[in-house]
Amino acid sequence: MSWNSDAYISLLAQGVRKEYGSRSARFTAVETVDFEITSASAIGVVGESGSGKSTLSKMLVGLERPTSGRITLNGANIAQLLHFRGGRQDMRTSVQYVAQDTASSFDPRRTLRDAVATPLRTLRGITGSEAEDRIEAVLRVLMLDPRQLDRLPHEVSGGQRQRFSLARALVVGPRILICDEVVSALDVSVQGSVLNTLKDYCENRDVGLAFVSHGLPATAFVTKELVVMRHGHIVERGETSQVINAPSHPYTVTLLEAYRRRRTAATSAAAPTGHAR
Amino acid sequence: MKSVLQRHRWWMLRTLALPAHIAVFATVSFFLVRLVPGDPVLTVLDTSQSISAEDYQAAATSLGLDGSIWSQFLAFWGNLLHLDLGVSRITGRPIWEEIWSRLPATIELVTVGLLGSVALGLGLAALKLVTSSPWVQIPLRGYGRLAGSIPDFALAIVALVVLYANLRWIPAPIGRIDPGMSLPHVTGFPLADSILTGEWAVLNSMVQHIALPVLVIVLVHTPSIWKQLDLGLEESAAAAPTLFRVASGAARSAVYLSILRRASASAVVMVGALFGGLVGGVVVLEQLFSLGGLGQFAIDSVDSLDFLGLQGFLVSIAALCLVAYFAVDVVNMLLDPRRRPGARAEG
Amino acid sequence: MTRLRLWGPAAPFILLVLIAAFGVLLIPFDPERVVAASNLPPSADHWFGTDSTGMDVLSRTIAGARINLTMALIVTAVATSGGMVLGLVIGMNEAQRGPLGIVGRGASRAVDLSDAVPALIVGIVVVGLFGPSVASLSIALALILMPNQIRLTRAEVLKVRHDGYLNAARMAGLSEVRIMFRHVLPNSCRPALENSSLVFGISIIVSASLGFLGVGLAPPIPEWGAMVSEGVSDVMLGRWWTSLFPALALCLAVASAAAVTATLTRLTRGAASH
Repeated sequence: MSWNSDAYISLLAQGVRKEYGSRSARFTAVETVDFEITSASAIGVVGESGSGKSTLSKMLVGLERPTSGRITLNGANIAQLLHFRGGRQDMRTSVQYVAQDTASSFDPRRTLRDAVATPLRTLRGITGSEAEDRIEAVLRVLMLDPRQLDRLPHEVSGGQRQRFSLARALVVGPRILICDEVVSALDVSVQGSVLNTLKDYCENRDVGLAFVSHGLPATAFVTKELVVMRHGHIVERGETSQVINAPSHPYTVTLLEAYRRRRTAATSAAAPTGHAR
Repeated sequence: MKSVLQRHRWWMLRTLALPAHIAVFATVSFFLVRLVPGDPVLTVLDTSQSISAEDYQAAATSLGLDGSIWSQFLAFWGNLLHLDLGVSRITGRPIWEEIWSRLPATIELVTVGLLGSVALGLGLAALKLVTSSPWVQIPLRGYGRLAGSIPDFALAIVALVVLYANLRWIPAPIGRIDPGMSLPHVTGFPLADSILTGEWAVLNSMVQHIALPVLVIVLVHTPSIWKQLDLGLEESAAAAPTLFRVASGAARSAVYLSILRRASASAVVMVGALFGGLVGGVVVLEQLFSLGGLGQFAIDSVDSLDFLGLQGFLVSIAALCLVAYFAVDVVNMLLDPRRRPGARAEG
Repeated sequence: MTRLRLWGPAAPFILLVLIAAFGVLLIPFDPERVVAASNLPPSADHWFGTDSTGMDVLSRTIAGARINLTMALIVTAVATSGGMVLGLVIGMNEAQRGPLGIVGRGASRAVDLSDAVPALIVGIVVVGLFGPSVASLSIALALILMPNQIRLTRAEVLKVRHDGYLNAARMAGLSEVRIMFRHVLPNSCRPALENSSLVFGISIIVSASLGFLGVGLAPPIPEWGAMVSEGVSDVMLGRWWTSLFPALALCLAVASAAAVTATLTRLTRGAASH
């Protein structure tokens, strides 16, 4: 399959449902959901912990298998695609996934260079100086210093590691990027710069973005559409500005309210009025 | 009714699992005997003379090796449930009798060894708590590291050379009691029997003969529990409850006791594993000191190619160890409800 | 960490290996033939004396090193590598639904169950049934000692299997098998490797115990356990040298193997953080 950088890609989940557990204790993480992300989208998925948003994002890239329903990439069922090597390569070069940076996001025994170069080698067969050039290019866009490539993961900061995670995903040039809580663990000051980088990258290169997060403000910043999830259901979806300013579902209202209250509390706690609270 | 079942699930499951586990070992030993290369039937027969078909058939039947594998399996299980393990080639008596008559002696030795190891462990724990001198602490730490590293019979030989050959402090390693004495028989447990029948001379002789084997077993196997206990003591001595007790002015002995109680949890688990090691160690030392017992039976079976004897031996030892582990498991789960399977599902 | 501190604990073991490998070139007498009068106490000619058949105890003790250690080495290598791979496969698959998961869970139970019978007992039964060849002895010991290595690796694999870099490897297009050996194995093999020195020690003890019980390799092969066993009756007659020296050699061998654990620990820990 040739790499057509202008190709339009659609990743579609239809009637997708995910259940966990044994006969005695069944738990439904995602309840029969329809969801689509294309290479032209910038769609956010918000909800509290346990709302099913992470599970949904993992199913979209094939890291979890849905209990029922199907997920297709330009019409082809991804379960079948991922079954053989060629299909795996097609899928992974088109759709990439980045998770929250944790202590185990990178193999502690291998360098960052190894982590970023591997997908380039396995998915596109690019090695040597061409690989070096591409890696350096993506690092530059993400504002990372190529000299850090020879370091081990624990030797760089959390913010830098999160960027390296992004580099690892973006180096193969995917048409869709799914981000799962990628800024939630970062300091507020660092969050802003990573979000900016992410937004610029996706807009400049026409890459579809699915931004999954429990943080409303960050999500609203990088997306044009918004989806709200609760207890495995999608309770509201629409344009970001519309959902934020004119929510229709009571849960969305509560969510927004909670954010406003938190913001007000934060600002008044910081305000030098001298009032005890 | 269902909630009663749920609450008692933990020990009921374990109790049901026990015969199932023993059954697994019985099956394994069944197949093991049939995996032996060559024809086991021929080992029973005198091959220097010509063998008639009937002789062959009779020998095969006596070994349980006639008919198809399936019929053999069924026969094996039928016999097993009647505790019929075949007949010993050496003595001609049923194997079950041979094993059953020697089992108590082995169990007694293992139990004495176990008690001795626990006692030594507690003694070392007391020593560790009471002094802080590095002359004591460093050897104590090192002793734990020896777990699994001391060959019992080697230590026994060294001890024999010193204590017997040179110092004559202990009697010769040629049996359980002095020649000329006879073993009283009430329960089958030698030490208990001599106490029960009031035969003090026999008891005295028995203790002298057992002293070194027991000493060796205790020294060799205590490190296994001591290692856990040592670790546990370090942790619990530095833990919050200890500091609290010290700060609230508790008596020294009370503090030590509380440290010990909290430290012994992981050591109790080790006791189960210790049991297995003890059984192995006892087998060797029974041979060295000519104490009779199950180990001797196994060696005799090997020497005379008594496959059925070995089969019975394996199943018996497995059953013995599994029962011991079961007992330790249940005690553990009694002491600490968190260890019960399924406990997390509730509440 | 200074070189001395790292390799110091392994020194006795390295010495032992050298003796096992090259000792036979230095011994004064043929270890399997009668070379002098029997039952001679230690003297200038025979540092360790001679045994009841007239063979030189020193030569036999040193020659025995090669026999006992070679078997222990093979057993340790097989038990550790087999244990690591099996622990890897079981640990990765036992949580799945479907046939792989069932086999994995069953294997896990079997490993736990194999603990029930002491190593020596299994050795006696297997050797008793299949004969005391080096092959049956080694296989029996490897089988006995593998479950613990499996268990150690499996426990580590269970900790590692949810690590994020595994998903990243999947997103990079690597197959599950490749991920297992490239990422999971190196991060979960440490406990089994550290334990291998103990495995070595135990295999020496068990093989010597079997030799002692008379179910090991037959004389005149100079195996330490058998030598001790032959010497027991000598002890009662005051001839301590025939069994004491091989017994001491055994204790020293096992102790030096145990000491190597310290070096192994420091080596593997160091590798993880540089």
